[in-house]
Amino acid sequence: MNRVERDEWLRALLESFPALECGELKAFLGRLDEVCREGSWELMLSSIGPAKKLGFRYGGGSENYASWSAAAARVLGLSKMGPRCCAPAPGFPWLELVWDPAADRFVSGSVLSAKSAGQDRAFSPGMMGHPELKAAFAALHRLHPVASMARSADWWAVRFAEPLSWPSFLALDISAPFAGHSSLLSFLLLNRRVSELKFTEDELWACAGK
Amino acid sequence: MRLNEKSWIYGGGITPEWKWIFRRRTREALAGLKAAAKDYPRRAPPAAFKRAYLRGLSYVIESSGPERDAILSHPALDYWLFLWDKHFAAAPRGPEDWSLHFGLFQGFAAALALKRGASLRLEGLVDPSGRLALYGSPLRLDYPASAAGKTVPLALGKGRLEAGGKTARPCEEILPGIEFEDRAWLIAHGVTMHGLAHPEGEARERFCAALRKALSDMEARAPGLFGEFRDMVRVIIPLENSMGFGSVSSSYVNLRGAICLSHSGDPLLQAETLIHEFCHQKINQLLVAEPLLLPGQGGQVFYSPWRPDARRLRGLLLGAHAFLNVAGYLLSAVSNTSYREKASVDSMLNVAQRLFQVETALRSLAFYGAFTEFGREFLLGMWRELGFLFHGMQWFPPALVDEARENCLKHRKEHSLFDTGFHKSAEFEDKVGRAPFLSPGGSAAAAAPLSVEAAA
Repeated sequence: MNRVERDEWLRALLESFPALECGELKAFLGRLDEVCREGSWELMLSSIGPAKKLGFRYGGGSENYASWSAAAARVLGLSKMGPRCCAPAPGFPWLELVWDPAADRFVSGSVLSAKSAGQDRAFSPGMMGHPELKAAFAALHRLHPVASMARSADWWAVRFAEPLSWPSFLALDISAPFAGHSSLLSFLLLNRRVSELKFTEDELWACAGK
Repeated sequence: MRLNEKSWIYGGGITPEWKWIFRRRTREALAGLKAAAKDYPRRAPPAAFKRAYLRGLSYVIESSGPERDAILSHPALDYWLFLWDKHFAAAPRGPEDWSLHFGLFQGFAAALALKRGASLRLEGLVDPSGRLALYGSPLRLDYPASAAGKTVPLALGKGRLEAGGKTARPCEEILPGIEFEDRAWLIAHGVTMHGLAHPEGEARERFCAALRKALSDMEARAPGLFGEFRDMVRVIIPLENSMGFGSVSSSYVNLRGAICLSHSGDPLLQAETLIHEFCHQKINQLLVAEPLLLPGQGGQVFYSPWRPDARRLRGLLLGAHAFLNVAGYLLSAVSNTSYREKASVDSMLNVAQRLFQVETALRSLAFYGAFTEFGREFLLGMWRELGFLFHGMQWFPPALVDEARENCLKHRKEHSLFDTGFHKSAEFEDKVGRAPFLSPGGSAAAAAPLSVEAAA
């Protein structure tokens, strides 16, 4: 989604959940918007529900990566930038923010270079080491083809060939960790689509927003 | 084999495809027995290994014919194989478990030898309830509970059984080949929902008589379904109805061919329950050979029109199929002239409610499910049959149909997430401050900033 759509979503969130303050989030995004004027935003939902953490990812044109990522890093207060000349592939998100709505603050933020974002590789279920994972991802791939997979030291992610609707995503075995919050998340996301799943040590993130 | 979905939506009777699915099940059971027979001498602790037990197992494996297939498709064998896969196939077990498991199997071998008139010497085992059941035949040897675990020499020949001087007695049968069982371990142990009932004397007779009448009515009204029921269902298990519901019932995917239900003197209610549970059994048997839903869709729970808690897609599919059959049966019952009286109002309301509930379940399945090719035909077929049933109830009083529709809508409003097929979790609250003109009587929208920039 673009910046306007992101703000529309945020406004709907605030109207649906008036208890949320979002003060820091809005201020933060406003400052970022001044330096990152183009590009697209994605929403990330953690498997433990939006009441816990929400993620935002930003991907701008790779040609402006150096200047925008430096500016974003300043806004985020990050001291170190990714290696020079390691701009991500066009369309690939390079800024990731995790926000805790309950505390109304960001709990993490990072500027990703192509290196730290992990190399994108064409996906096949055989890439999964464990037989159970292989079977689970083969079933997933049959239902909704996975285009690529990325790995990093702390996480790995699969990207769908076509973003799939949130309800279709929630019907999958792999989305079971979201089941406890499904009505809340469904209300929050309305008819948005899931483009990627990201696995960290203890969480599953669904990247939505298309 | 290309299956005809119509035969599986309603009772198509004993067709070649019904037999094909049955053979798939018996082949699978035989493969499971062979695996157990291979593992038993290799992995059983020496104290638990008996050549006589292996003899019984080999006898069943090496036999053939319809009698052997009847043993392979018995619900008790389904449960025996389930226990084998779950508890023995990978993890180590103690000698008592091995002795119990392979000792209980001898009941199958004895029943088969008895039916075939074969000569065979076995060692039977009294189960933890004090019963030695010849699973697949109605014969039972009953002992005091203190005899549990005791071995009993069984000598079979010319259709006779010698059991250490003890006489085997037949258990009650609802119809020939459909046992009424409340104790035998390989049947009763797997029944985990509701308590088992142990009716005796007149209570037992009343229980069985209502079931016989229900089945007799089913034979007249739905001969195809009745034929399938007779072919597949081998055991009826009585349940307590301690909460005083109209009826309680259950069936299990690892006890295919067994139906558990409580007593009711109303044969129509008993028929409804038998059909409901049988439909689950039939689909469970079908799914082993012919999936309807593509794998990998168990992550989410959906709104269930029948219950306050949520169900997975598979549960919605089984529910829609069972209630479509129940509604069809009840509609044929109330459409009969003799039923067009005041007493049939409840049945009419029941039919109408079932149809609206099935419509809701099919809606969610169509919204969210990814089906196999056969599954798509099956789903479309169920929609079509539902349409025919709506035609069939046009003569119902409109006020009654409205009441049924309202009941379903009320349930849906309470438990589903707006007009989606999602289950509304308990913690979900709609706090959207909608403008009064959008929700008459509602609260005004809270002032919200119009843009992030403005707020920042």
